[in-house]
Amino acid sequence: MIWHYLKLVWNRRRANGLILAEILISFLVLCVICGVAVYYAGNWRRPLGFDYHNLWTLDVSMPQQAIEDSSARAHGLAISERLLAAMNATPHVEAAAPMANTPYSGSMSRMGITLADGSKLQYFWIQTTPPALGVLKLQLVSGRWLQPGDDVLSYTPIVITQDLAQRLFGRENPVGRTIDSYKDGKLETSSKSWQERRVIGVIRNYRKAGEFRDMPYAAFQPQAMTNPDRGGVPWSYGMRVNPGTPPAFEESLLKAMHAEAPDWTFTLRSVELERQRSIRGFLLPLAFAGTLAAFLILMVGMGLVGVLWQSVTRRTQELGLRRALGATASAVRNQIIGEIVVLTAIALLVGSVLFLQLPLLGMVKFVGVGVFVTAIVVSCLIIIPFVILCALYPGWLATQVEPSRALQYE
Amino acid sequence: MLINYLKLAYKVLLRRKFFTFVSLFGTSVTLLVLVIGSAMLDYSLSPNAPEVRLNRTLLVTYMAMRGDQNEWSGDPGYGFIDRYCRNIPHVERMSVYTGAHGTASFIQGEKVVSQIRHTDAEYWSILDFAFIAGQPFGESEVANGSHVAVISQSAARNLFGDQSPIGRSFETQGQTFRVIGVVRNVPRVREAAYADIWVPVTTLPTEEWKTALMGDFNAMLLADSPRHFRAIRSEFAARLPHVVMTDPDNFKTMSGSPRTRLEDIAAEAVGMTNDSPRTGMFIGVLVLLTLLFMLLPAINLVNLNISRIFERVSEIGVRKAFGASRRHLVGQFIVENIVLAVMGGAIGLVLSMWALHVINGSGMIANADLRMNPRIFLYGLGLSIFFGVLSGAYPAWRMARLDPVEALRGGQR
Repeated sequence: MIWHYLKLVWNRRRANGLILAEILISFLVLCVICGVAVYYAGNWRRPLGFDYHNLWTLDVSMPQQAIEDSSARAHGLAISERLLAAMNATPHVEAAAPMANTPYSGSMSRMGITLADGSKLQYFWIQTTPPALGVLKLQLVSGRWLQPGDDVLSYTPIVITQDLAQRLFGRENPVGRTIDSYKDGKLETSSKSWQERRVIGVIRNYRKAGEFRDMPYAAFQPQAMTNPDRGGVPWSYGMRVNPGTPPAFEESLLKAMHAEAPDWTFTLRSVELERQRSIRGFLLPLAFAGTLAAFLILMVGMGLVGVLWQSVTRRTQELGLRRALGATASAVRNQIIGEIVVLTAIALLVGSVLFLQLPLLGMVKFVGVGVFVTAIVVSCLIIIPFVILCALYPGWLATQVEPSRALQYE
Repeated sequence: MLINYLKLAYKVLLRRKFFTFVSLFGTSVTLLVLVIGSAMLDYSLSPNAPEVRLNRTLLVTYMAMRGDQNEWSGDPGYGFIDRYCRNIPHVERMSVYTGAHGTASFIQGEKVVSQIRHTDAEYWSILDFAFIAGQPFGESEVANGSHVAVISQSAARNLFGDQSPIGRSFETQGQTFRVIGVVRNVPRVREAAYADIWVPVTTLPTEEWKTALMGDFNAMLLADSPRHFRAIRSEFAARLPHVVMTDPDNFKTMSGSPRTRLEDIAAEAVGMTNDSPRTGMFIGVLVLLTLLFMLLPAINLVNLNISRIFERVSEIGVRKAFGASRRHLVGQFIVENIVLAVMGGAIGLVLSMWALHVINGSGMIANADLRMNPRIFLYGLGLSIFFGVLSGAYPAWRMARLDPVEALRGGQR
C-alpha cells in the first residue's frame, strides 16, 4: 500500500517537491523551538540546591585601589567585616555571608581547570564564610561544610556540588580527594598563591545560573576576612531574612551600609524578584519565536489545504475512475490522506537527518543528543496530525466525485 | 492593457476567496514581522532625540588592556579618556560620562529605583534633551562638584509625585541632590542618553576614578563630518602607544578604537576580532536571517500560485490558441501577483502600525517610541512587491510553457 502511495507521489514529483520543501522547513523550524523548550524543561526539573525565598543579595562597588594593592585590601577587608556585622545587626536579617556568584546575578566568575585526561571544565567559584550554608539553605550530602579556621589551613578546603563530584571522581568517594589542574601532562602549581584544593564535603547542588541553565558545577571555599594576602575584598553578599520582612528593611539596611562605608556604593536585590526577571528573560524570546513559528506553520497549513483542494479537483477523472471500478469512498479519502502522509514522512525523515547533524557534527556541544531526539519526536507528533487535519477537507471533497461525470469527460 | 490586467486580477481574486485569503494572510504576516524588525533596527541606529547628532558621533565604549598574562577589556576609565581623547583634530566637541546604573531612593519608606548617570557639562551640548523645566548643569557646577541633578519626567513623578520638582532634593546612595532640570523620558535604546537621573561626574565618591585607565566611562566624539571618522580613528590609534600604563607589571598595552553605533551593536551581537567589531558579519547574519524567514512564505506562495494557474488551464489554453504571446501571459500573471502582494503589503503595513503602537504602549521596551517613517514604509512596500514578483515568476514560467492543445483539453499533468 505504502509503495503504491510512494509511486503516486513520485508520479507528481514536480508539484510535490515544493510541498515537501515546505513541510521540511516547517519541521526544522519546529525542531529548533521544541529543542530549546525540551532543553529548558529538562533543566527545570532538576533541583536548584538553594532556597530563593526571603533571600537578598547586596552588591558593593568600591574604589579600584581596594582590589589592587595589599594595604588597601587590608583596609577594604576591615570595612567588609564591619559591613557584615552591620548586616547581622539589622532587624529581620537571619544570617549573612560574603559570596561571589550570587543566585541569578549576572556575575559568572568561573574557574577553568584541565583534567589529567586533557579535558577542560569550568565551575562556579565561590569564596564565602561558614554562615553561607544557612543563607542559601544548601543541602550537605556528605563530608562537612566550611567552618571557622578553614581559611588558615595549609590547603584550601573546598565543598563541591554532587554533579562536579560525579564529573571529577565518578562513583568514588570525593571527600579527601584533591582537585588538580594539569598543564602539558604535569600538575599545575606555578602561581605564587597555589595551594592544594582538597574536597571536604559535597552539597546537593548550587545552580546559581537558574532553572533553565545547565550549569551544575560549583565549588565553595573559605573567604579570608582578615588576611589580605589570601583573598580579595568581597564584592557581593547574600542575606537570609525572616519571612514577612517589611519593605522598610531595604532602607534601613542601605543606611547602615552607607554609614560604614561612605565611599562605596551598594545595590540591594531581592533574589525572588531576580528569579522572576531571569525566568522572563528565558521564556519571552521562546514565546516570541513560538508565536512566529505558529504563524508560519498555520500559513503553510492553509497553503496545503489550498494545494490539495486544487489537486483533487484536477484529478477528477482519476478519482472518478477508481470509484467506477468499485473503490469505496473511504478508500479514495485514504488515498488522498495517505499520499500526503507519505510525503510528510519523507520530509520528516530528511529533516531529522539534517537536524541530527547539529549534535553529531559537534556544532551544539552542551546539549545532549537525547534533547535533539526528543525534539524530533515532539515535532513529528505536532506535524503529522496537523498535516492530516489539513488533508481532511480535500479528502472529503475527493469522495464527492461522481463516477459518471468522470467517465463522461473523455 | 494594464487596466485589463487589473480587471482580470480583481475578478480572479474574487473567484477563489480561500486562495486570496491565504495569500494575503501570508504576505501581510511576513511583512508585519519584517517591518517590526526593521523599525526596531532603524530606530536604534538612526539619529533620534536626544541623540540627534548620532551620524557625526564616534563612541569610545570599549578598550582592552593587555599584559603577558592579563587581559582587561570593557569600558575605559575617566583617566584614559581625559588624558588621551581630548583635542583630537576634526572633533568639535567631546563628552565623557558613565554608564547608567540602577540606584535606590526611599520616599516615605517606598523604594524607587532609577537609572543614574554621571556626566560632564559638554554632554548636554552634544545630546539634545527636551527640557520641560529648568536647565542642565554647566561647567561651573561640574568644576565645583555641585550636588545638582537633571531628572526625567518619570523619575520626577516617582520621587515627588505631583509636586513641581525644580529646587527639591532627593537622596540616593547616601548623597543628596537638588533638582535643577526635568527632561522628557529617554528610550532605552538611546544607549548614550538613557537614564532617569543625570548628575555631575565630580559628585562621584573618592578620587580614584580620575586616573583610572579602565573603569566605567564612555566618551562621545562629535566629528565635524562623518568623512573625518577615519582621520579621527587614526589619530586615536597613534596616541595609544603613548599611554602611560598605571600598572606596568600586569598591563603593558592598550588597544581599541572609537566606534559608530552600528559597530557598537555589532560588537555586542556577534563579537569582535582583534578588538574590532565584526560589522560585516553582523549585517550578513541579519540579511541571512531575513532571507531564511522569507523562504517559507515564499515557497508557500509559489505553491499556491501554481495551483491557481492549473485551475485556469483551460482559460490559458483558449488565450494561447487565439494567439496570446508568452510575454502577455507572463505579464498578466505577474501583474495579478503584484496586485495581490501590494494588497497584502497594505494590510501588513496597517497591522504593523497597530503592532508598533501596541509595543510602545506595553512598556516592553522602556520609553519606546517606535514609529513608521517613510523609509520603513517604502522598504516594506518594496519588499512586498519583490515578494510578489518572486512568487509569481516560477509559476508564470511554467504557465507559459503549457502546450495549448493539452491546455484546451484541461491539462492532464
